[in-house]
Amino acid sequence: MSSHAAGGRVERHKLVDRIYHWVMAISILTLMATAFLPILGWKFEWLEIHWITGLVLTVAVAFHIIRSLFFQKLMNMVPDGKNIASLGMETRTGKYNLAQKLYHLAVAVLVLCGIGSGLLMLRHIDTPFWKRDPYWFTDHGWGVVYSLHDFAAMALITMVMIHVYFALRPDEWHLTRSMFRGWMTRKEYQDHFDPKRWNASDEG
Amino acid sequence: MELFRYATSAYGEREIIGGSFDLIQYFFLAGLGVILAHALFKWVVPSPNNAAP
Repeated sequence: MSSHAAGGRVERHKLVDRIYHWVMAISILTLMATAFLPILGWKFEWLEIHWITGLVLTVAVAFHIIRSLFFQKLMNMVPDGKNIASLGMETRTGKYNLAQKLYHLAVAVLVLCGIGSGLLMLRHIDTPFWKRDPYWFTDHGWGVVYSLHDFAAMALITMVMIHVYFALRPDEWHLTRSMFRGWMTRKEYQDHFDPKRWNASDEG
Repeated sequence: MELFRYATSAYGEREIIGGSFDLIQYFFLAGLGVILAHALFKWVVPSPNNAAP
């Protein structure tokens, strides 16, 4: 059992994972602001902030993928038979419940779609590192890339709204607090989680 | 309402250049819909974790 667990606290998120979460949150909000505020009429020089923030998000997500594949328990985030069998009736779950796993999957698809298309779109602008080359794709090809980027970005509006709503709900505060300070109380752990499915002393 | 933004090419053809930003309002409404539906559901059917002991 970890020292945190032994002391009446159960560690949920390590510092490095919390830093990743908040870097991603700030990046996504900055990307959304620089993408949508100009469309809504707020005129400012948004492009440079947007692509630089996009690169920060790309590095952060690459780090998260490597960490989750090789240093964490990936299956904590994969829907399993118990999630499905107890659909809607789970009172004590693993580290993440079915809704959280499906939400993570949806955000992963959207963010990877935004990053992949965004990296391709970098060929459309001059930066200190490269000159623009708009002939990589045909006009139709660029239209597909831009459409993917636009739809992923707009769908992230929905996902961010849902995420903030759940983070603010009083019955989810134990999760929200743990994303700030890294731990939850032993009572919160016992009330909400099944130790057989999430052994808090384990990594990930 | 259109799903895509279009431009006219040098050959007079209509080309897709991206998703239509007219859809932003619908993605916003989708988020609002999920939030209201969940809040209503939780109000009608409280979670067993939050039931009085």
